[in-house]
Amino acid sequence: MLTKMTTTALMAVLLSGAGACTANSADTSAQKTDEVSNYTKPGAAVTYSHNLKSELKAGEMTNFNLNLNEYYGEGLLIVNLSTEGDLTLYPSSMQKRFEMVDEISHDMDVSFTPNSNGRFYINVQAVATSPSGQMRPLIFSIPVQVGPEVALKPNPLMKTLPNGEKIIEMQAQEEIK
Amino acid sequence: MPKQTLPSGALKISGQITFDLVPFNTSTNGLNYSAITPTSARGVTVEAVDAAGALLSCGVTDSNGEYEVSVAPNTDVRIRARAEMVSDSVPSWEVKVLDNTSSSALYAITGGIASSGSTDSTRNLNAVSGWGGSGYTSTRAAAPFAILDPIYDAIQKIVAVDPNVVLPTADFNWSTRNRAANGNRANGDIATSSYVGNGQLFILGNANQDTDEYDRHVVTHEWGHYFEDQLSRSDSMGGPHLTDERLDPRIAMGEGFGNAIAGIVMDDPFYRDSSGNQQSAGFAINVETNNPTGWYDEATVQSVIYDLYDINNDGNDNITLGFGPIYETLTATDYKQQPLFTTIYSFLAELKSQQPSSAALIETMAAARGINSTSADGVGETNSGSITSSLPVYKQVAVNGGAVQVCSVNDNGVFNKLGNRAFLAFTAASAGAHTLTMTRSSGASSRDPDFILYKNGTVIRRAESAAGESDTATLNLTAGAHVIDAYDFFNLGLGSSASGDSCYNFTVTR
Repeated sequence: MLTKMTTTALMAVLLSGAGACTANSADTSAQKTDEVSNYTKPGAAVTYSHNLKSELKAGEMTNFNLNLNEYYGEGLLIVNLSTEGDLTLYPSSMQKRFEMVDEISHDMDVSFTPNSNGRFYINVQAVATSPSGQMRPLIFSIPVQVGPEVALKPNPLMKTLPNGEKIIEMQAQEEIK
Repeated sequence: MPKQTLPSGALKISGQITFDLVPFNTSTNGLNYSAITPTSARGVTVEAVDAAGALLSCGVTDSNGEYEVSVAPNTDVRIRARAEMVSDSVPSWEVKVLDNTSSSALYAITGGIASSGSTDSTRNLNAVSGWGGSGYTSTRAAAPFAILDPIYDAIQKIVAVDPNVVLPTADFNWSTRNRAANGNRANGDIATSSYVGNGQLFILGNANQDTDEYDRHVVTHEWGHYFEDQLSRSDSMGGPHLTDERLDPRIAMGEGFGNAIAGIVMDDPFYRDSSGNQQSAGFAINVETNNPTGWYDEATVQSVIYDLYDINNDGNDNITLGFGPIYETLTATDYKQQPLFTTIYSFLAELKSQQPSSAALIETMAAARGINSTSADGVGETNSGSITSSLPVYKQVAVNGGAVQVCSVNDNGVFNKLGNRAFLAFTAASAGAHTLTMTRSSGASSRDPDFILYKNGTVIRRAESAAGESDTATLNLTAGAHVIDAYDFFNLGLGSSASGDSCYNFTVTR
């Protein structure tokens, strides 16, 4: 069977077959695929995916599909879209309501035009509401990169101390007595 | 945290460091900007610096946010409070709030330059929220100190039961540019508030979408993952976990603990998370609710752990252990080096071994919450979570014995859901070469069987070959107990291949 393992991992297998590897040493070979290792905060039982293409041009209208999967048996899923940055969304603010009955997958067609180069966002707020009124939101942003990526400017309050440490000094309300 | 002792002859500048705490509107679970309260910044470093920025002296605020520093008379000086809590001596800790979008610079607030004069003086500094009535209109200086505030409580909670604790560095990365987008964290695209390992935590800050700096339970929940990673052990694979889901019991344990520890640290069972326009909406989770779903549900886990702690006995909760036994369990060598995975079963088993007189009450409560097994490996569990293949929790494999069937199913979703991955256990009677084989036996074809072999929490071998009918690994093992996480890679949702349901024969030979 062909493997996806790294050369190092493959050599380890061959060596172990010959009885030459160190017994029970920890496996430090690369993982097959970087598994998600983020420990995130709780949210609604809703996941999303989209097919927004990565190369976009300023002034060019773009369409993509936003897919939301929810794992509730009943209730209402209300999805609001808005933009952040130099984007025009059609319509300018968008709301969709989906009954959460049997179908767990909901699709939205989204159209927008980036008006200039830059990094912008389509903000999505999906709120799953149970029949009893209990709400669980899923909030996320879809990045829209138009043109080359430009590094963010650092916080204007950032300075470097004599010891080399970087610090962001924010003015406090001060009372002197 | 004592104040510094002043050198003789120096003048004293003392005062209080505060920050604008924005509380919750407990009706909406959004933030209540009309009730902003200056609140003591506890345990933070305070510095006296001269006009050129040179450090003259430093101190630490006490539990009232009060500090003292010493300076020479008639010296131009300003006071700076750093968004950090540091204790170099045991008990020790180092917690900082950094801007991940600005070279990981440390946040601080500063007063103005003024002469120290000829007598002792007072300088009080307040970090403002920046709220202008309908939005943020100035620098959000309070935010980094708001993040530190619940962590001060968390540290105090630990020190109270372990005066010799050594807490590794925890860096909270926060920025007003931190948003719920996937991408480069240096650009603020942090996906969500999370712990990502190595003491690194990321907190949302994008106004009118989702900010978490005042969401104390969210901050503490993520710190709980830091605690597990740095002081205890977690076998959780992380990833999206959503309330009301049936989860792999390892992530159910980790996330349930995160919610519970937030309630424990705050002595407030209501986990609240604000979001939306003007941070005016949100939701709450009451970890005091006696959730009966079962061993694969973070809501069940959080309710069990919180009820072990709290003094409020309700329903099937007739036990009050406080935080000490929970801490002792999670940091016990037996727990951290156990051969099994970290689940609610292994947690309760270790707790009962340390608190035998409470075992019966613990088991009664657990059984009422859908945790029917009383052993660390879930033997005898009858609650399958509607996934038949989830039981028994560990499939026992005999070396050179017959094949044991495991299944990987997508009924509850992918990656970290109940049924995606199966647990196997076997004991190597003696050291030597062993061959582990996983071969599809039924269900959907064109799958990708993979497995990971562990001993005492350490990955011994990843068998992650390409898609096909089987996967195998031959390696030398030391004697002792081993566990295996076996799954269909397509049910991890990490590639483009469709998930599905299939079963496999698993053998171990030597």
